[in-house]
Amino acid sequence: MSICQLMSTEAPMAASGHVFPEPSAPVSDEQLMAHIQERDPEALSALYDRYSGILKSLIMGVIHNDAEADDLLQEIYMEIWKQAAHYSVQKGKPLGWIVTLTRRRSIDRLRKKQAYARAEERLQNETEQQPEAWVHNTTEDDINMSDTRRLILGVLKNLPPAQREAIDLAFYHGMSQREIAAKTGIPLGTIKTRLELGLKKISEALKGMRDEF
Amino acid sequence: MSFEEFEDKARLFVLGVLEDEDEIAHFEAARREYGGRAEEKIAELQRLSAAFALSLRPTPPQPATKERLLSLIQNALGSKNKNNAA
Repeated sequence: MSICQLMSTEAPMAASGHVFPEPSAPVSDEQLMAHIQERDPEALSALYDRYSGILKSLIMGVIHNDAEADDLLQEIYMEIWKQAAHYSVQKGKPLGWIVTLTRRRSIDRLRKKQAYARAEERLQNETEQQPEAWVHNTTEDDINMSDTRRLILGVLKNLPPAQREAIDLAFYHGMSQREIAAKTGIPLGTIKTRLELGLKKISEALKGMRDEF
Repeated sequence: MSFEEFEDKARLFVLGVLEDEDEIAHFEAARREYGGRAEEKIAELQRLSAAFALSLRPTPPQPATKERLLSLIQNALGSKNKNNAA
């Protein structure tokens, strides 16, 4: 059964027997992954529509180039298509797996291009203007902000600034612990502690959230 | 390494920021020691990666990117079908 058929079988049926065109419930990420494993291009297309925007933002945070970000995004979705057989629900939710893949490929691309120095210069300019990526990417008038995103941003913003900065540089900008230490002039051990404490707090806060991702 | 310490390192691991070779070796040893419990914890912590990504405002890719991707996939499927038929 293709993803299109799956969605149509979930559509509610009126007393007349007519099937409404809109699906009654969104297809889950797990269902999409199962269909990708069965080589259904429609499922990959749906997964692309769902996450390509945030994945591109994630890539842009590391490589800072719009055309390259699109190029890498395409490669990542091709890899999802090719590597789908290696994904299993036991390894976690699909989005976590996809985000991990995206970060690794973004960092690989950055290293291969040996453009780190230039990227860091741009990053320095950016961070001097806006110290945190999530603040930079967020405005109060963002009327399309989802509830999930709002909750997560709330958790991140409640961290002590030093922990937030370490996580920002590590996750959103793809910097290693050593690179963060070099950039901030703070000892490596302190960076490690800040990351561990910050991540622990975020992890605890997420436990109270709905199991959406 | 206690399980709590393992959990601290696992958070760094899922975000790809566990880098020091000794630290990775200790983490992998603890991962083997705790077995299924460790794997369950790592899977659970993947939520962190997802949460960070969901905190970003989406940047829409160029429409041509999706067209190229789907075209590549159709070509790959076509080649596979041809090989199977041959």
